[in-house]
Amino acid sequence: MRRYRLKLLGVFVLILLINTKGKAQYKNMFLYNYSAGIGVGTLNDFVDKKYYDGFHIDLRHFYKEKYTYGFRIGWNKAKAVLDRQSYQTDKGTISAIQTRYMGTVPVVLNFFYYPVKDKVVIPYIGGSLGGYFIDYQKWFGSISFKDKGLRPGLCPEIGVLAPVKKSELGVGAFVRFNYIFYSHEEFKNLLYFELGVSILFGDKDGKDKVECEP
Amino acid sequence: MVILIVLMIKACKDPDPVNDLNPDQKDLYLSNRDASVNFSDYKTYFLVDSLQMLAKDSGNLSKDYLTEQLIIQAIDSNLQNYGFTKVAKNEGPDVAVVASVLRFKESVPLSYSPTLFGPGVYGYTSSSELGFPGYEYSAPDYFGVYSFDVGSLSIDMLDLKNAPSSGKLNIIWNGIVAGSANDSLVANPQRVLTGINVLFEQSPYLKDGK
Repeated sequence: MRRYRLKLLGVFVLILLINTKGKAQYKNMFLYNYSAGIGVGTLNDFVDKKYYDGFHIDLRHFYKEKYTYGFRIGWNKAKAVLDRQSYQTDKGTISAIQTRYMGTVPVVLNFFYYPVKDKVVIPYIGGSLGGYFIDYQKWFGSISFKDKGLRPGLCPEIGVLAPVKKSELGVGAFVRFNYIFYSHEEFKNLLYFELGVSILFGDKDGKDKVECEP
Repeated sequence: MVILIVLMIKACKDPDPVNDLNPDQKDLYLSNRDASVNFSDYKTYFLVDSLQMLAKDSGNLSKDYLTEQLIIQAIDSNLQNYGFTKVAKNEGPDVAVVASVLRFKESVPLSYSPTLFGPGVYGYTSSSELGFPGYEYSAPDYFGVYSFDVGSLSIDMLDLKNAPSSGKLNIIWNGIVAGSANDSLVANPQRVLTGINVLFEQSPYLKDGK
């Protein structure tokens, strides 16, 4: 299933890139991202190796020719339902179907560098920094143990953008690695990769346009 | 664009991860024991042959006597399978076993210590019914405190053997089938019976001692 979905993502990106060619001279960019998250370490075990999927909105502003700053907000979440089994706890033995849920809502500032201007595909590198709202839930049957709160985190990212010819639209793809300083129960930190695709809406208005392609 | 943002906000709303589970999948089977007790020291039991109906308000609880018999029989057969011998109250049983239905109209913390089942909850069998009038009930501090707004069945094993020396009726083992009982116990007898069997399966020390 996981391999199938990754292939699907790849095919999606390829199809879109084939149909893209053009010149982008955006002042601002709005990206709508879908990512197939993959938990690392404890998170991967916690969600029983399920995808840690999510959607994000990413706003970027060119403050220099090759640099943007902006912010991103979105969510990733996954749920796992384990078969009934017995657990030893400090309150005795509990036999239950365990349901685990983890959700993260990043509210982060981002900074990116676009080293190449004159290509159909524009690569970028950078990352984001900020807060992640954590929603940890572990249910034993109908009894829940929850932990919610805001934790700091950072997220290096690389990706590519491909503006569609003569339009304010484009597509993209990216890889992100999220590191969240989160410690609770079995977690000592919260780590996950995201492989994703973006739909790009460029804003060409304004006098100080920045050309990504000459 | 607006639609996308609305969809994202909707997706961020507080999730209910268990809303798609069937009712029986939400059932919990909880058991606890007095860690200082060696259960191989206890050989005989007296089983209170009716379900106690615990409540905070009066009058609205009713029994289904067929289901009540099934529950008592299920407890009885599990105890005998574990090597306990059933005796009458006047034959000096080592332990008494009491089964209770917990059905409240509100979420009530179930507490075994310091007050049995919390303030204002009544209906538990009296100590005189067990042959020890005036004795107070007691349980280890670490016995669980839970809160349910659904029906539950509780089974307690009380130490009669050491009651005269301790001056208390200590609960040395407890099992709770949480979530499957309702007022009359009619709706879900199989879920309750399954739960009883699991409680004993996850408490092998009742059979093996220690």
